[in-house]
Amino acid sequence: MNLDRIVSIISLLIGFSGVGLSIYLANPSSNANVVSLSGWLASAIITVILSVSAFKAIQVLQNQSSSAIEALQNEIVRAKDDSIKHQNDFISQQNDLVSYRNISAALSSMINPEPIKDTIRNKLASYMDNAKEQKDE
Amino acid sequence: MTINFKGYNYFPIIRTRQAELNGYAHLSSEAKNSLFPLITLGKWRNSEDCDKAIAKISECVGDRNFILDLTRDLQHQNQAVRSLLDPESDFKNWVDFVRSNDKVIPTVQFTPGAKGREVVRQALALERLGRPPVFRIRDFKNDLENTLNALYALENPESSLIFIDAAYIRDISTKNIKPGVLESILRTINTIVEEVPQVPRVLAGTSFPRSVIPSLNDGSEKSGKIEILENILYDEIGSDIVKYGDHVSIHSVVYDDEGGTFLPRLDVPSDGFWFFERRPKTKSEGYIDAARTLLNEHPDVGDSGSWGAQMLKNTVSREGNTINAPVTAIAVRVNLHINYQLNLLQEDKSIVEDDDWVL
Repeated sequence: MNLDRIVSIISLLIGFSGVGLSIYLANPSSNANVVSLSGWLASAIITVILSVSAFKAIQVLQNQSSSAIEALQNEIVRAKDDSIKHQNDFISQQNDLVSYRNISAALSSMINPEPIKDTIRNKLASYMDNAKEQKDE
Repeated sequence: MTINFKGYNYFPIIRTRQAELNGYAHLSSEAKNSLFPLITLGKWRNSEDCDKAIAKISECVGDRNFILDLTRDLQHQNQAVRSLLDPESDFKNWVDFVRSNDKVIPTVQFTPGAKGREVVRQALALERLGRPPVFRIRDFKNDLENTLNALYALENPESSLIFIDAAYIRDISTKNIKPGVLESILRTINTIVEEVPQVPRVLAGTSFPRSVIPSLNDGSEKSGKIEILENILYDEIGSDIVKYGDHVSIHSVVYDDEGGTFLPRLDVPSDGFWFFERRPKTKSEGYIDAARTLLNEHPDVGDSGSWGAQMLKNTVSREGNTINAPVTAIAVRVNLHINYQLNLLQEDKSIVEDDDWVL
């Protein structure tokens, strides 16, 4: 319980005591005093009800704001993840660019890889033949 | 040391990351003996030296030889790796490092800014250590030139190995092999066989994407499949021209920031695809349902007898070691992928057994 509430309750009690004291000292005999007293009582009850409802409203507001802050925090984390993702995508693309630069005429030539494969095989076969010949000699 | 590279059919590229090394570590001895890994050394967690990474590699490979390369990705480098990449005194740091690790088959470093002479003398120094130098070509122009220059100078170039690393080969928009990749690889190979036909060649690439979301099945947020393109590229070039390598179902590009949230996802290779199941809005319990679905839809995976398959079964039955985090899920994927490729290459080998594999 915070200090404000304690002060409010004490003020309320002082108010009630003041009303009680004034009625006691006036020693009321007429209906006008009873009406006046009931007015005081009614205002006191309304004050209590309003105070309680205000406290409740503040609590609800506090809960709502904390969940909103949590949602905001999640959004920030998500945004950070997205930023890392984009950064990594950028690195991927940079790597691709390096690869592309390394491979000469990557997209424009050699639709059919078979001729170069045949060339490689021929070179290897030629090397094998030479090695075999040298061994025989 | 003489290594008969021709005796191996599979040359996976593995990085010094916990998930990748664990996937490899859990292969059977038979599987490990039938492949020759190229391990790219980077920082191990936050360690500033290479000792922990080397210790972990040694633990995984046992007494087998392995090709060791140094990462060029700045995010994976630490001070020790940068020191090994230093071209000063003809890559003295790297040569000394190789000398002190007797199971290492070194790659020749093409550090940006290194002079041609330094690269050649580095290759000669490595050869003098009795280790066959391996040349990893990532840049089809500069790396190829450096490779050929070094090979001309070697005493026994036929003992070396050329590793053509095409890296990420998938086109983002079409999802097929990037235009120009096949052509540039063939041109590179053509130059190599023209100049040094005696040197064996490996072609490695990966088509595993950074994000699986574009490969989700229509209307689904949970399931999808991704075509494995590295096999298609290899088949297109021909097993008589190159040996097969890949990045063990790992995306090869390193990004500035691997941010974002992880959600449970499992991937299994089968019939030329990686099939995946993801479970948005769940935590580790999502792996159980994902594993169950994959095992039901791909019973061949469950029957494979691999560690990865057993982990999937354990996850469903909730017994023993189970998958409950991305690092384990990736290790399982790597393990399943390597076993899948070994089987595939074994099948290919039996089909083309009569063909000559030409050096």
